[in-house]
Amino acid sequence: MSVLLQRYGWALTSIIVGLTVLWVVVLVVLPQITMIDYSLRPNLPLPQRDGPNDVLTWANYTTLAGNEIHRTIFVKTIWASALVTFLTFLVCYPIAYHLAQVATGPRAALLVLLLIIPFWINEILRTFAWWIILAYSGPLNIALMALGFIDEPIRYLSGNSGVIIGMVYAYILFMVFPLYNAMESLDRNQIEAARDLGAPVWRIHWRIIAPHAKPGIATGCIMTFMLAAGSYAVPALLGSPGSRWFTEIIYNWFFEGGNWNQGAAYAFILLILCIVFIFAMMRVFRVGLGDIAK
Amino acid sequence: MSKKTMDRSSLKTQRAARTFTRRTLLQTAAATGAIAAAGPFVINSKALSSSGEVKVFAWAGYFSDTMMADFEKKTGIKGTRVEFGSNEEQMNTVKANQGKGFDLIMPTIDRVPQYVEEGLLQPLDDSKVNFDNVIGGNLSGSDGGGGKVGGKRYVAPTDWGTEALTYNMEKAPLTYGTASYGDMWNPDYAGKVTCRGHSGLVGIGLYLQDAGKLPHTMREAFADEKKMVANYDIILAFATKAKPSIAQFWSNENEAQGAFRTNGVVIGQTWDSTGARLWDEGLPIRYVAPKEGALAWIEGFGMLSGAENIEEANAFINWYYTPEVGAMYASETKINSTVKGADALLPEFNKKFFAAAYPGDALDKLWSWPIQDAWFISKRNEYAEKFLAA
Amino acid sequence: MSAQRIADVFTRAYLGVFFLYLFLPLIVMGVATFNSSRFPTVTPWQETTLKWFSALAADNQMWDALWTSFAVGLGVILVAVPIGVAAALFLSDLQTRAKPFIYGVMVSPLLTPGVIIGISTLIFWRPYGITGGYLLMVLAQSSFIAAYVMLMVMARMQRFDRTLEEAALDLGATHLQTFRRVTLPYLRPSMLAACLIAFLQSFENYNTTIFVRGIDTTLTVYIASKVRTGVTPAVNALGLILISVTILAAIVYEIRRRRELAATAAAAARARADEKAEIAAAVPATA
Repeated sequence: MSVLLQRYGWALTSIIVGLTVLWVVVLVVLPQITMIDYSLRPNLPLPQRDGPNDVLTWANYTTLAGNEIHRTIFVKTIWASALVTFLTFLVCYPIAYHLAQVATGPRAALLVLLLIIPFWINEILRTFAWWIILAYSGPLNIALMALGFIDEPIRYLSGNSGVIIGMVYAYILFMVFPLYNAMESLDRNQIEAARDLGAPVWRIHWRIIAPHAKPGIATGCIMTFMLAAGSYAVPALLGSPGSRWFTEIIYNWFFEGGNWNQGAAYAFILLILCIVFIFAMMRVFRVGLGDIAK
Repeated sequence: MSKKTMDRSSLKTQRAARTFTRRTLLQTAAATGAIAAAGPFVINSKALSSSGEVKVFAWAGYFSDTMMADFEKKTGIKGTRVEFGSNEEQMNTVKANQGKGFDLIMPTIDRVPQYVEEGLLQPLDDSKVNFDNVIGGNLSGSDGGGGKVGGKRYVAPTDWGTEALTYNMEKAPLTYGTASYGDMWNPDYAGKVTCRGHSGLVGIGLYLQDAGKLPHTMREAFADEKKMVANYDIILAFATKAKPSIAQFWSNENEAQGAFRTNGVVIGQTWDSTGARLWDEGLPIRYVAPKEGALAWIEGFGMLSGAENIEEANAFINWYYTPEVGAMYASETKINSTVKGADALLPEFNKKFFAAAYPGDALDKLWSWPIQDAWFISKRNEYAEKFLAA
Repeated sequence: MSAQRIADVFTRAYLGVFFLYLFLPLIVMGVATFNSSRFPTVTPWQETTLKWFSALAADNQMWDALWTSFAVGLGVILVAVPIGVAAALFLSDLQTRAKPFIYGVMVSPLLTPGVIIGISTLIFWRPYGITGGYLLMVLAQSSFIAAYVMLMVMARMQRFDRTLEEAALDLGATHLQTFRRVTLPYLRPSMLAACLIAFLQSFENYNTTIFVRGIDTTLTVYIASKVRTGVTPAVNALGLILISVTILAAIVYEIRRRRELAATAAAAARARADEKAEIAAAVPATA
């Protein structure tokens, strides 16, 4: 706190601390406590609440351990989200680099505009458009057949491929912007110097740009991973029963089953394990929290 | 700060405190409900102060702007309609608002006992609602199927529809009398079938029941957990083997239509409105009740326990219970109105579709959804999940 | 040198493929607007038509929903961006062992399914007399959108040379001046990006919004409710219009920028010419 005070003075500091505390306490923690309370209680109809059956219980949490289908889907959600994150990174890195270091003023602005335009259309429609493209008698199959690449239409929507294509697409902005933000502050002279000294392109990226962009990479990956793990619309529309997402199970508890207590418990498990997973990954890749939040 | 002091206090006090707040909340809600249900004079003063409006939480696309304008013109009451897209969205929204915020909602009748158990609905006043204008069979069907709980009527039925076989008449022709839920699993259609998770299992169940392969009837399975498990284990085994036939599961009208239009599906178990819309647009798609009986559901208006405009809500229901409005509603939604005389005013297509969907004794054979208790829904979900994961 | 050329060619090719991927769904969606099929698709093609634009024009509910979405989006920017920036500044200067925990709590809304944020916000505020509606939509959406803002601002903060602030203070600037003249300008690009992300996130949020909307309907909620009877291409028509307006605005902006550029260039040229003339006039005088 003293650092803040020193840097911003008491007036700004109290605004900063005030807003942060307001957000964390009133908008995040307190409402969530209601849900944690739900997760620790059995699902009872309203008139039975506070009755003798309304006791604290871990039962909602142990359900996951006893249900093999849910466990499998849970594990799959984690690794598939990691895969989506990795692919999104690969797709976005060149674009972010181009924007930050190659393209100049107006051209960069134009590219940013092009990037944003698709996101004017809401996720349901964008995902739905992918559904049409990938459908059995959709334009992709028709085009491929007309060109003679395939003889029989392919069912893209019956495996994981539809979900992955749709998710990478959905989270492009969340990866490009952090990468761009971090790369943009790199002095172009460093790249020139490395080039003049004869460094090949891949080494310039590996040794200069990537290390500089590390906080952006970490931020982008964290956001994408969380979005992917918490995604609902994409797997629900582009997924098949074989590629179900853990969030679909949670929603199923809430909606189909009408069991908020069980759903809240599952959501809480997902939240905790994802945060653990993120910290584990940061350790593996030696990205400290300090790199993201200095 | 008060939170902190509470944390430090003993567990006992804490529990007492929570019980207190929860119970007080509950009592307040109950009291509000009681006042609302009690003296008309209380309500009248409320109605006067609220300047005549009614808030309806309705299915998307059921009440068009034209219809809402018609309501306002005829009654002078301002109607606000807020739309939802699924039964689950409706249930959870109402639950989260503890029965307040709207006056009328539109549950399917088999869910009504659940709403009543949660204290979210209040009984309708038979003397204020014009039930004489409802087709007799629909009203008794609604009352028997969940609309009446503990002798009190909670639902004013608005429409009914079915879930049966939609088929491509060129690639998977069916005729009434022989058409069966079992046809979906014909190897010729492998990889070209669509259905819903949980109702697909019921369709298989009815097929197996008629083939004499189930220990109990499907209706019994809805009433007794042991019988349900006995039946559903067999159904699931069948469904698991049949699963490779399924091209796509659907969960809403949009997905069901998409399955037939662009995803290469030729036969499936869908809502009547799906079949009707596809046919109406000139596609070679038809809809027919199978010999085991089409799955029939009824929807209706329910009055929320926290309704603030009861008089106006009754006026809305009575406005709906006129043949012209019933017909407008049916032609818009492609489902069947429960209002007497509405069928005579229907567009030609609706009549043609109805005749093709329910020929012969199909209407007598309708299999109406039994009441689904909480235990059944959670058990049913378990099976549906295993089906999806198989 | 040739490696550089290869890299250039590769970059161009990649940009092409990337933007094709980005725009493919939009093209499909846009084209489907002109297909008379009630279901928004390009296959099978039934008949070319403009009827979905008139259907859109007649759909008052859709327009109401669009305005609601805009209003909520602006509200979210006003609430979530200041909070997110404050939280980023707060976390950047926090020196405690509890930091990972606090960070975890702050990013937790991003991992919490939207349905839970919606329901818990609604239940939490009810005792205070705040029920579903505009205010609650803004609050519920801001609770997680602020976390995006925080992450984006923090990524930029990380590269900030903090001695700049110290230098400003040493040179006698007040805290407020330093913040306004040094810190904020540096954070500006990330804040603009954050505003954009905040707006777009709000614009397309569904799972949280349905519970806190009260009797209001946002565009996404409206479109999602259409799955009951089937989404029609009128929705595509709206998307097409939004895209066209964006592109048009960009073109107008670009033209104006060029004109201004030309104007300043001309002015500069004139100024130079005047200067020359003056000098020319002055030279003989002194000569």
